[in-house]
Amino acid sequence: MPKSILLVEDNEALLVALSYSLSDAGYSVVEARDGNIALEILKDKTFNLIITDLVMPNKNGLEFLQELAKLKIKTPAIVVSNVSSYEHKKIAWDLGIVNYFIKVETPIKDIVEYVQKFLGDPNGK
Amino acid sequence: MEPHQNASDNVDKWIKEKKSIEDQVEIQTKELKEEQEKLLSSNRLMKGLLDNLPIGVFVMSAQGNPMIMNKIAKELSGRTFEREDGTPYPAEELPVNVTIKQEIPATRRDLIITKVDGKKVRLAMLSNPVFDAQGKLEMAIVVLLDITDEYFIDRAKTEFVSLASHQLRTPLSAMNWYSEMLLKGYADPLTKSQKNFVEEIYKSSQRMSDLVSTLLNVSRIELGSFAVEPVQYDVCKLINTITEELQLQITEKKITLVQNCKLTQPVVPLDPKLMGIVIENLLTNSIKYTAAGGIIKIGATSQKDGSVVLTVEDNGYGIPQSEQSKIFTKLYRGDNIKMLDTQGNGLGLYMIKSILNSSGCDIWFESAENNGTVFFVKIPKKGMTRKAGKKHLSGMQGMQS
Repeated sequence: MPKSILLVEDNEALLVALSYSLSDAGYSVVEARDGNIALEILKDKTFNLIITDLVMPNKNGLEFLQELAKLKIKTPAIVVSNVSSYEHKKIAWDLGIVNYFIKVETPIKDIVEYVQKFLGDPNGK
Repeated sequence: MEPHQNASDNVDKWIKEKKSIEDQVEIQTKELKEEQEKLLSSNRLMKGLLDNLPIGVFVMSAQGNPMIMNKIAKELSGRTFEREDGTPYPAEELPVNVTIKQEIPATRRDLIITKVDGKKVRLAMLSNPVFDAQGKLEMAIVVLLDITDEYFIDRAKTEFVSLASHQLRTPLSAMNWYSEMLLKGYADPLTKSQKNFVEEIYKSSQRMSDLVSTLLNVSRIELGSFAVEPVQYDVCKLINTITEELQLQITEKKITLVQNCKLTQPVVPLDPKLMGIVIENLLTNSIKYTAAGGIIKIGATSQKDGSVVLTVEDNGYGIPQSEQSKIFTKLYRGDNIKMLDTQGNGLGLYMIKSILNSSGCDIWFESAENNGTVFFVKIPKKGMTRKAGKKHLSGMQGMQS
């Protein structure tokens, strides 16, 4: 089984773009449209990495990250969001994320390369 | 002639003279009354005019005593004067005191006053000197404007720009990513001309993304909601990183870049992201406004007082003398470069000056048209001043991802 990524993003176009690029790099990607759906999925599945947006309906990214901490889910998480304000970034970093990308300022290639560096070979150990 | 006849003539003459004098007195009295009436009326007019002016006006003697104060000026009398950030406004910097002490006109300063009734008002104050015939300062005329409403309208507009810029980022991200994916051949391999077209879309979309990020940064600066987070950072390393990022543009214009970073203590408390924006803007400007084949020197030196002065010098088009006072104002674009570069947005220097001034740093320049420009940035010994970000619009309600 290739290494798996849980991708939490409510914008369809951005979700498809990221999911496609990460799958193309060889990873297994599971999609969730908000934090609640992501938590449901996490009940019976584990992942090597979580990538989450911040502004989402129902349960936003920060609430989702807080919930992960509460549930002691140690899966490393990356934020990919267009929110660039200091206070949101700080909250996210304090919740233990491993990186924070601003979508509009980051080519999709850079995100994929970071994931490759972080997770290594999709089929490796 | 008979003696009594003579006396009678004298009496007549005397009576006539008396009458003439009385007439004159009457005329003069009438004239005086008219003059007095005119004076009173112009006094009333002046007072009425002053009191009904929609701005505050007061006149201060050269000795610092209030001479005239209209109704609004009385209403706008403050107990305390503060800056926008809540710190006390130094008395010697108030325009009226500047005019009286230095005998010069003082440009508009905005401040917050707390009135006698405890109400806070935002005030713009400016002042002009009046000299007597000998050229001695006689008084200062001070104008006060209540800009509270104007301030909140302006703030609402800035908040709108901030929100709008944020909202524009989602569709722009999609345009960036999908152009990138098309170029990578994710759909199907592109023909040569298809590739050229998509590259144009990608470049334009990225330019728009940069503009939107700048607008967002400017609106944050204006709202006071951006944070300065200094960490121990190597100035020379930062210069190096920015220079590397811009290497392509430098090479394309065949510009010779000379880097000279000589610091006794290169590690300074600074916010690398904000200082990076400053250096990048200055270097980008130098590249843009220097002819192909020109020379740009970038470096930093340690000063005796422990501060670091960073310089970006070019032998480019320079800034005309007549425009030098305007270059840090919002949306300013030099007349001599508008035609050379149509992409500029006139926000860069305004933004970096705001960043530097609100973090305890300073920026200035020397320039001569057709000779080039040197920009200097001074980071004090203690580094950039920490500033906590304020929460404004960045609350996520109403935002799209």
